[in-house]
Formats: sequence, structure tokens, C-alpha cells
Amino acid sequence: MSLWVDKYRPASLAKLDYHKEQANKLKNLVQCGDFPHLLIYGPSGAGKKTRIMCLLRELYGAGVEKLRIEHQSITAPSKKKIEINTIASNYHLEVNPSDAGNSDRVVIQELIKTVAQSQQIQSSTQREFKVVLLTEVDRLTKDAQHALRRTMEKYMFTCRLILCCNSTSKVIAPIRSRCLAVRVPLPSVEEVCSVLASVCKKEGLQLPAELARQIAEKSGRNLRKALLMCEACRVQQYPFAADQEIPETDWEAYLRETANAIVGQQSPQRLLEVRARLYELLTHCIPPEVIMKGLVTELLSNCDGHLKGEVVQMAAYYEHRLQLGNKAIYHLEAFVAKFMAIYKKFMEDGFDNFMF
Amino acid sequence: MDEYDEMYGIEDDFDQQFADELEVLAELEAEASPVAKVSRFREDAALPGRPVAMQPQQQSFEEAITSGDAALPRRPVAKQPEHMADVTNSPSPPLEEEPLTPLPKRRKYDVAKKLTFNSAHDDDITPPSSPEVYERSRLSLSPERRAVAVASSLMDMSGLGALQETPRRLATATTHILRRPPATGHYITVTNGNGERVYLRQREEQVSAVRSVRSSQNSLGLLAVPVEVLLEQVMERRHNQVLAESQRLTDLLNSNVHQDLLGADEDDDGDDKDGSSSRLWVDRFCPRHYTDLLSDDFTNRCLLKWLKLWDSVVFGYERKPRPPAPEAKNINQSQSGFKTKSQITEEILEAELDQYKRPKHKVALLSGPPGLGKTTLAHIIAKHAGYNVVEINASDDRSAELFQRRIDTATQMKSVLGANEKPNCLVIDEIDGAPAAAISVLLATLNRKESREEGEAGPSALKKKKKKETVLLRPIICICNDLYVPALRPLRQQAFLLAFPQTQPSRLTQRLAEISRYQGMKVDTGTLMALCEKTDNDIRSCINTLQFLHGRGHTHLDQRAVTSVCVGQKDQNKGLFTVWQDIFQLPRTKRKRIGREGLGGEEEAWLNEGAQRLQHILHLVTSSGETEKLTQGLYDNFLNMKLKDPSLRGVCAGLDWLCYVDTLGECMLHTQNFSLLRYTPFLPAAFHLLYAHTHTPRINYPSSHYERLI
Repeated sequence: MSLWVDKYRPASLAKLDYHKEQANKLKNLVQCGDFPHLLIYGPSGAGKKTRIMCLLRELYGAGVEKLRIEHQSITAPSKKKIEINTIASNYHLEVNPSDAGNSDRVVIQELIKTVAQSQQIQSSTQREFKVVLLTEVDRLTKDAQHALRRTMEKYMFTCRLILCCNSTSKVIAPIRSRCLAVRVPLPSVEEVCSVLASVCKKEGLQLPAELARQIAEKSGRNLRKALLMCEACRVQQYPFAADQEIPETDWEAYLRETANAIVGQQSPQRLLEVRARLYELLTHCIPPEVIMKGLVTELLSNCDGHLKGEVVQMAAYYEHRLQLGNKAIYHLEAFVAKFMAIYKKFMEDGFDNFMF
Repeated sequence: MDEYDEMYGIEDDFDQQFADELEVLAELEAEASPVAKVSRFREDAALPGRPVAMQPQQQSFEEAITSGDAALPRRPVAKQPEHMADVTNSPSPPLEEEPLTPLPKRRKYDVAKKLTFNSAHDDDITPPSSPEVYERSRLSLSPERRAVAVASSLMDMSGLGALQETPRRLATATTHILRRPPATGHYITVTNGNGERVYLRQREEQVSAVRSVRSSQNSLGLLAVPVEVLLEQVMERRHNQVLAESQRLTDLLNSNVHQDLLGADEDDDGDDKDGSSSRLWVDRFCPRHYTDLLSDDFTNRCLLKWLKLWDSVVFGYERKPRPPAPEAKNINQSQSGFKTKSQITEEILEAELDQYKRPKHKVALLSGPPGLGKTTLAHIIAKHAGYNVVEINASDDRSAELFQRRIDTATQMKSVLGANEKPNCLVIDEIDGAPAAAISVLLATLNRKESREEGEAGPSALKKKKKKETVLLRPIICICNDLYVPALRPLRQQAFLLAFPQTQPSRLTQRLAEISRYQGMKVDTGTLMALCEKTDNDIRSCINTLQFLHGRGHTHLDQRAVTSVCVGQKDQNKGLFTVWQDIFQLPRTKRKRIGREGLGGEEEAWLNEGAQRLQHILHLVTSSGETEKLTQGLYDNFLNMKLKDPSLRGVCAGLDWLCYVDTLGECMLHTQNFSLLRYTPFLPAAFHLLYAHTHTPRINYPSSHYERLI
């Protein structure tokens, strides 16, 4: 039994539930028989990957769904062995080069180049090119992105690249200019609701519209998350009640507690406890950006109006540093400490004002 | 007269010994002033006020000798006639003492000679006016007479000259007509028809000759340097050679005569007073006796005791049975884990000998940081216990085969030549650098007996004798800096381990004070304490620094000089925990840190304290090297420090520093621009300034980051 998210994932462009106009455009693009390099970007849970897979199916037919996982090891010039997992069909190759960390440049240079250099054998029945799908391009190092530039031009004939990322801001301009950028926005609440309804209908369940709406709002229009939440609700209590409590993910609850702890007391000891909690979150693969965002959201709700601007500015500053740096924990903790300092000062000032 | 002859028997002996030189000197003299020599005789009787000093019975040995030496061509006698008179007049010591202590006196004369010689060397000597004119008129000897005089003087110099007799008659003359050869200056021997001989002082005339040469040289100069000057130089060189040779011979003579009276130290002394020695003080003031050792007494005693355990096998002494409690011997090694280190050591020293009467641990392994005197200790103790020390150190090839051969040579053979044959004691220095193969060879040598023994049941006396060739019967002392080098692991289990504690600063200071006093440096105790602290009580480094400063011409040292000099501070790796501790702990107020820059004056001390601390931390961190782990440790521990920081400003600053360094690191890795690495040590420095406290911090090893990855 698979999750609803996977079970009811649309397999062709025609079956996509929302952004139908974009789907049409993509279909037209493919039907010409050729298409340029694509850069598909958008927030998570918007359906980028689904759209890409539909596109590939449109291009190559059902053969693209026969996937195999390969384990490749590449030797860097510095004799360092790099292990990387790829997902491939006969027609395409999916790699997440940022798995290799700082050596992603080698992956780009070695792996992708070899794939791109080799010709498609059965060019009579199939397309003349293969597709390489690179995910999380925004986490590639600059070096790797530069390594990609020439590959994209030189092997245009045999290979198309589809780059998938959350934000184009971290993709260097030369790459952006070589690609057709396609933005996949989040579905609206209504679209999420309709998807939820159709999935429940296929499952044979009755979903109250209020609950669907609630889920959609709570999920932040992230369709994957919405479907997961819906499934969680189903496990929790079947005959759906309209005012049913939607289970929250553990890390969110944890993050909220952390934020409350920060507001509750400002001292080095408390900071130490917060550090432990932040470590816990990072250990569970919650991206530091998400933690930062969650913290700010929670903290802002506890702040006075004067403070809000300052806190947001600070958060922006530290998130920027976070992107530049390597050890997320330092930056998160620096933000927390800064917040503590500001908050404490504000509270003391407020107390003084109250006294006199 | 008999007495006189006895006395001058010595002089004759001297003349015989130096006959060659004296001849050379005479020749030299003849060449230098072929004409002027005789014309300038001083037969100066014109100073009647002068006391007559010529009493042959009181003529001292030294004067006689110096007068023998004094036949030099260019001696500025004329300069100080009074001085000469003083010398001849000086009361000579009683005769009985002369052969006993001639050395220091001689030296004094030598020095005096040198001084006068050197000072007069380049100067134009203006001779005193009045007596000379007077003399010149009086002095006119016939050439025959002169020849006789020269010949007799030569005869006299070579010890063949007639002995003096009845000097009293001519003693009416002033100091310029001498009964004895004058102590310094030129003289001519004149023998009259009666066979009486007197010595006439000769005045130097060379100067005026040179002057006249120079005046003539103005007109015609084919050479860049006039030939006269060249000739002069050549002669001077020859003269110097002769002087040096005679000096050498004199020294040789002295050393032969007084070898037994004077120790080696005295000899060094003589060298150094001249400033000619280039020996390191470390070697010169190296302890020569057990009691001189600066290292910890307990360690010294333990090693000596251990070495004494070998006595029964090496020298065949019976070991005295010890009175203390027998239960100490019954306790197993396993139980001794609960005891203090010193107890364990004592126990080892009390342990039974094995069947070859060897101690249980056949190797002593000394360990400790450099400059504590480990090698010195090993050498002195081995000598003290009556061994001949054979040393193998890192400068020797230590491949397995060579090592084996050397060990065998050292432990199984013994020198048959040489006066006192002593058994060998092998000292393997710097063993932590030896390859593992060499150490396994050493181990095999140690354990040789066991492996053979097991094969044969019941060692009979005969077999034992046969095998005796191979069993290790000599003590081996190994020395290392780092006890925990992997190659030493097997050895560590078998060796008698002795860790050197730090040298006590008080003892070291005392010794340094002695040395500096000996060398004529003025140093106070505070300065020496500062020096000790700067070098971390490294004896070698301390003494070397002292010598360096002495060589630079500092005869008076103060604290400032010690702090300002950039030598002596060790570039030593410290453990991570030490570094963290130093970062989080303020230095004690009493002990001022000695940084590399010694800007520290008394008033500026307050201002500079921060700078010095900063320098210290930077130095520490730079030499430590493990930046990543260091940073992580700081991050993990800084919140646990006792912070007085209600506004959390310090915490924010620290975290900002961490962020900065993180960004820096990322940038460094991405752009491969490792020149940025130089900025990372400022993080610990900043942490030190932010969080350092007087309390001793409790530091945990940083684990959070790694726990996270698991």
C-alpha cells in the first residue's frame, strides 16, 4: 500500500489537476518533437516533479516509468571516492548532485558528461536525445554550476537537461539564460480542496468541505503536505468530522515549544537548552531555513509591534549568513541569542516605563 | 752561589726547551735592526736616585723566564722606564713557593706583555728626550765587542752561556745595567774580560727608521705599498707566529706540569677568560656529578636504584636483602593498579631478580618534554654506577640490522684497551623516533632468554654457560619525549617507566644565577624566574638564552631584556584541553605572561596586559593547528562558563564571531583561498577576551556535532 500522494499522482500532462494552461503549453512544447533545456522552479509541494515526469512520459511513452536505482562511484582527481545514487530509465537519468556536497563539481563533470556524450542507440523509434534531470540545482556549488555551462551547450544534440529547484536566486545567471524557465506556483486553496475531494472520492471516503478547506489552509497550500495530512486524519478518525482536529507534525509542535522557551526566559542556560532543541530538529533533517522561518513566525506572534520589524530584519540578516555559511547551528543560535537580547531589553524597558 | 745555581737550574732547563725559538727570536732581532742595534745601547747609569734592585737571591723564576721570552724585536721599552723598574723591583715571592704556583703569575706576565705589545704596535713612539741624548753620546762599543756580546747572548739563550758570578760588583749601576736579564724589553749581554756578564737594556729604534723610510717613499712609489712596509708586515707575521708557537708550548708545558693539580674546569676557565671559547654553556656547565643534577630527586633516585639492581649480574655483588615488609612482594601486579604511581615504582625496584639475577624490567624508559636533563641524567647515573656509557641516538642509522648489531656490540662486548675497563651501559636516546622494526629488535633482545629457555627443560649449569653469550646482561636505558608513540607500545609494557616531572623553577633559577655569576653577568632572581617561565623550565633553553644574551654583550640583564628578546620561547604543541583551558581562564594576576612582544614596562603593564593575553592566545592557537575542533569545543563550552552577562550582549558577540568564522570557512573551502585561514585564530582570542574568567573551567569534549551526525 502506498501513500495517497504517490498512489494518485497524475501520470500524464492531460490528467494534471491544476495549472492546466501551463500543462497545455508544455504539451505543445513536446509535440514539436524537441524542447530546450528547462529550469523548473517553484515552492515545494507545488507539483514540479509530477509535471516533469508527465513531460517525460509525454516524450518517451510509458517506458520512462520503468525506473532503476543505480549506485555510482566516481573517483575525483584528488583520488577521493564519491558515491552517488541515481535513478534512471532507458531514456533519462535523475541525479541529485548536491548529495556529493562540496565535490558536486566532479559529479557534474564526470557523470553527466559521460551520459551526455553517449548517443541514443535506437534513434529511429525514439527521440534523438536523452534527458538528464538534476534536482536541487539551487544547492549546487558555484563551481558545479559553472561546470554545467559548457556541457549544456556542447551536448545539446544528444542531451537535454531539466533542472529542478525551489528558487532561481541561487542559480547563476548563465544557467538561467540557457534554460526555459518554468515556474510552478502553489495551487490555490480551492484547487487543493478539489484535489483532496477527488482523492477521497477515489478512496471512497466522505470529506466535508470545511475539513478540506481547513487542511488546505493548514498545509500552507502545499499539496503533498495536504494529502499527507488528509491521510493522517483518515487514520486518526474515519467518519470525518467537520471540526476535526488536524494532527500537526511533531517537528512543528517541537518548534513551537522551542519558540515558547525562547520567549519564556532569556539566559545563557536557556540558550543552551534551545541549542539542544535546534540540534534535535537539524538531526531530523528539518532544513535550517524551515526552522528559521518557523521560529520567526512563532516568535513574531509573541512580539509587540515595535519589535516585529526589528526581529524580521534580524532574521533576514541571519538567514543570509546561514546561506553563506556551512554550520547552520551557529547562525540559528546567533539569531536566537540576538532575539533574546532584544526581547529582554524591550521587556526591561517596558517594565521600567510601567514603574515610572 | 750554590743556592743560586740550584735555582737557575730551572732556568737552564727552560732555555734548553726553548732553544729553537730563542734562536729564531735572536735571528729576527738581528734582521730587524742590523745596524741600529748596537748604536743604541743604553748604558744608563745616569739615574742615581734609583734604588739598585739587583739581588740575585731574590730574582724570581718568573722574571727569569719572562726575560727569556722577552727578547723581542719591537718592544717599546723606552716608553715606560719606570714600569720596567717596577717590574724588576717588585718583590718576588719566596723561593719555596715558586714551583708550586707559577701558573697564575705567568699568565699575568703574559697578559702584561700582550697589552704593552699591542698598544705600542701601531703608535709612533716618541722616545723620552733627555736620557736618550745622553746615552747616545756614551754608547759606542767596538764592533768586535759587539760580536762577542751577541755570540754570548746567543750562547746564553741556548743555555750554554757561562753562569753568572759575583754580580755584586757591578750592581752599582742603575736599572739599565742589569745583573739578570730584564723581565721585559730588549737587552744585550755584555761580557767583560773578567768573565762578568751584564745585561744592557736596548732602546727601540725601529720607529725612527720607519719614519725615515716613509719620508723617502714620498718621492718614488712603484708599489702600492712601499716595500719596507711589506717587509715589516712579513716580519710581523713571522713574529706573531713565533709568539703563538711559544705561547702554545708554554701552555703545553704548563698543562704537563700541573695536570694533576688543575682539573678540567680550571682549564676551561683559562680559555674563557681569553674569550676564545666557543663552547656552549649547556655543555660547559653540564652537571658532572650526581649531586649537581637539577632534575627531580625522586626520579634520579629511582633510576639509580634500578641501575643498581644490575650490580649483582654485572659486577657480581650480592644484593643486600631489604628489611621492609614481605607482603609487598607478594602482592600481584594486578592489584597494584590501586596504588599510587610512586608506590608502583618502588615496588618494581624492590622486586625479585630473575634467574640470571637481572631485574624484572630490563629496560628503563625515561620520558618527558625536551630540556629536562634526561640524557644528562642517564649519562651521569651510568657513570656514577660504574658503567661505560654507549649511546645510540637519532643521528645514527637505526635500521633493524644495524640496530641489532649495535645492541649486541654494546651489551656483549667490553673494551679491553684503556686504563679502566668498565662494563657498558647502553643508552638509546630519542627512541620515539626509531622505526618500529628497530624497537622490535630491541624487544627480541630483551626477551631472548625466555624463548630459548622454554625449549629446554631445566637449565643446567653447563647450558647456561653456553647460552650466556646471548642473554642480555647489561642495562639499557631508553629515552624518549613522547611515551605514547605507537612504535613504543610493546616496549612500554616491558620497560621500567620513569616520567620526568617539570624541573623546579627555584632550583633552575639558582643554577642559572650561579652560571651568570660565573660569567660575570649581573642578573637578579626575578629576571631569571621570568626566563624560566618563558621557556617553561627548559634547562637547555634557559642556558642557551643566557649565553645568547651574554654573547650580545648584555652583562647586566633585567626583566625587560628577557621579555623583549624573541628567543627562548618554545614553539610547543599543547593539547586541545590545555588550549581551551587557557582560553577560558584568565592568567593569574601574579604571573605575568611573557609574550613574544615585550612592550611591557612597569607603567605600561596594565595597558599591555590585554595585548599580551591576546598575543598569547594567538600564539597558542596558531601553534595548535586543530582549528575545526578547537572552534567546536569553544562553541560547546562557552555557554557553560560563568558569565556575568545579563543583557546577553557577550553571548551575541560570541555567536556573531562564530557565524563570521563559519562564513569564512565556507568561503575558504569554496574558493580554495586558504590565505583566509590566518583570520581564524582571532575567534579564540575574541572568546578569551569575552569569556575568560579566573575560575578553572570545566571543559567537555565537543560531542554535540558528532552526535548529530550519528
